[in-house]
Amino acid sequence: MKPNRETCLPAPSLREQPPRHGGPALAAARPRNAVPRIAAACALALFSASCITTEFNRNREQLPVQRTALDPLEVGTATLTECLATFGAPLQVWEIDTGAALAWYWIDKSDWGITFSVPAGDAVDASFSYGESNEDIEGLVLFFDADWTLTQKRWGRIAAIAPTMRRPADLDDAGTAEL
Amino acid sequence: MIRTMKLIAPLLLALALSSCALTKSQTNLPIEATDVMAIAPGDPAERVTELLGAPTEVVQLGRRSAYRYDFTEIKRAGLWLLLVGFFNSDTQQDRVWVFFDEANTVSHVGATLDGDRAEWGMPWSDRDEE
Repeated sequence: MKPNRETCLPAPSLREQPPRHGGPALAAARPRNAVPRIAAACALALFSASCITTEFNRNREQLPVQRTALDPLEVGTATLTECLATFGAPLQVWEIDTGAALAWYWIDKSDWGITFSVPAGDAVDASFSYGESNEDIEGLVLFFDADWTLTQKRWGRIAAIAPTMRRPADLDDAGTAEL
Repeated sequence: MIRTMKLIAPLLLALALSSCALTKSQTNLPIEATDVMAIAPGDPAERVTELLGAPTEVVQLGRRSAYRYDFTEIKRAGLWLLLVGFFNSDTQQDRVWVFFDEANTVSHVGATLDGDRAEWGMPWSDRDEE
């Protein structure tokens, strides 16, 4: 008699256990059915990959500035030399009145995106995309007067605290800017 | 079932490995710390351009000015797993600002030399120093 799965079990104790999920006949059939199921899942995944694209992107730029480093810099007494020594080179420098503003910031932005694309004919490709972003560009802007003394310090979202970019001021003969 | 998984696992692994990408891009040349340290307040602008070359940006500050020098390195990593892709980009810079007074001599120098600190990683990984 040809041995079946039941007779190949090593320990009688295992055979005595009640059958799970429909008994030995179904259990013996499962491995044979698994191959087409897995192949179908792989085929579906490959097919879907051509029309559904999901992406997770993360973008980091520059190293974060420590906010606590701002505390020792007192408005009215701190100089540009001290500020440069504390934070290094700024990313942007603006002319502000007779002084200047310097900005330090970093970017750590991540977002999920999903794109559906369905070929709908020779000339039409219907696609839809959705993306969620948690953009967070934080940093600090320091303002200096003409003598390079700190006059103001701001911390927060750069878009909200940075001065408006403008063209350099015209100077008259006395060196006074027309603002 | 185990035999099936043994067959499929290498295929999935091969598929995953074939969809990995690492790239590196650089803009300008790295800034040497010794060149930056050689610049001192009172030096003329010519001395600065001798050491660092032409600036990437010049900002007018009334009758004064400031030169910006930078080197940028970007390291990108990507992983495609059939339906989902993971991408990470890390950008770091060597950056120097040299401030000049009205006589066009150096008044201040600020430097950040982090260009070699860009890292390859996945979106969920932290930087080494974090």
